[in-house]
Amino acid sequence: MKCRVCGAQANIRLPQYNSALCAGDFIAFFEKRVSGTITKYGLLSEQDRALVAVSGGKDSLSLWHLLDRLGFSADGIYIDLGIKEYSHISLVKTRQMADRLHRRLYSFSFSEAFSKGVKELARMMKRPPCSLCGTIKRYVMNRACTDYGYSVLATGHNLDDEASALLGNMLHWKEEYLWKKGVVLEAERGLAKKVKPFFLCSEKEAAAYALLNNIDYIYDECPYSLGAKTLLYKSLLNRVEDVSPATKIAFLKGYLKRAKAEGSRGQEQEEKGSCSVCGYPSYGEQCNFCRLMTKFGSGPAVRFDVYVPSEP
Amino acid sequence: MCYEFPMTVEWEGKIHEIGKRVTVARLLDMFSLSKEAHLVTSNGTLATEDLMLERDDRVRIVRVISGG
Ligand SMILES: [Zn+2]
Ligand SMILES: [Zn+2]
Repeated sequence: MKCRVCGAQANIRLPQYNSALCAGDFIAFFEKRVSGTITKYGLLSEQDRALVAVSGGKDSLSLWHLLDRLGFSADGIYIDLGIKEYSHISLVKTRQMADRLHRRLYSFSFSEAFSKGVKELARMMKRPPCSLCGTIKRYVMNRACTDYGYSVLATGHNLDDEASALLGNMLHWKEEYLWKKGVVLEAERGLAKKVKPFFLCSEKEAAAYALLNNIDYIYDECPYSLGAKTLLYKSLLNRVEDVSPATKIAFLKGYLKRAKAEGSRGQEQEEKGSCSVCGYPSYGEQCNFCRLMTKFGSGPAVRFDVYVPSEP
Repeated sequence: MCYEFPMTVEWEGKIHEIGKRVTVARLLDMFSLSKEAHLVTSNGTLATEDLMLERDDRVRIVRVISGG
């Protein structure tokens, strides 16, 4: 198979675009596509300072690398969950990328902030670890944006993440979540703008981009991950994709078109107050995070470690 | 008949030996793996599905899907 651009031996076939490309032309193609998504949906401008939520996995590290290549100002934010080997390896990988890009890396240490580990805390709160972890991550990443003056939080969610979540919401008719997905979530009172530049890029493309750029990422998953259903939905969608290429992208593009119409209809703004401690939007007197901190926090303040790579 | 090395395929941390030449597409079929969910490298280079893998190639199958 030959590269469609230069005629050399191809390295990747992209049946969804009816194409095959060599390593160099694939990298150029992928960067142009993401750049197109950024422009089309108004995700980032030259004036923005972005924080990239990095986990040490292929998607977030590829995103950080790519935004830097496109010339955006992007630093990283990492949440250290204190899960032994897993957290240690992922921190090493994110630091490697900070060094490679000469960019700042903020990190929040779960075990420094709380007197209990994720698993124990989840059990005491009677919540699944993933759901507790999600609450903490959302809060802390937003907090880093507001504390350090970043206008946008970028995450590595890809086409497969979004398509599988959408399929899950549809199979269970979770109408309260169904129309809330999007490439961008505009800033609101107390909340930074959130963007997903890989929304229309498949997981395979993101992995190929990481591989071809020699990005060293963590292959393993969080040991507490409840991803079994996600994996099932992803593999179902990929079996369909194998037989009928471009199904996933058509699924999401069709969704975005409909979500626009659905989203503007009858969107009653629920009256949310503000947390009396930190000002974060909250239904109660204190937000979920501050309640956790009051009960199990080891100190009064949210503290970030700032890693600044030395100049080249 | 001269002796030839088998092809080694690394998949999920295990090494498998395959005694014959196969294409990348055939290899994924042999492991019942989706093309959309895996990348295959041969001697460190990313390979398209039509590529014929030779007996002494070092092949690695990379799972690209994570549970998140
Ligand atoms: Zn080319
Ligand atoms: Zn609060």
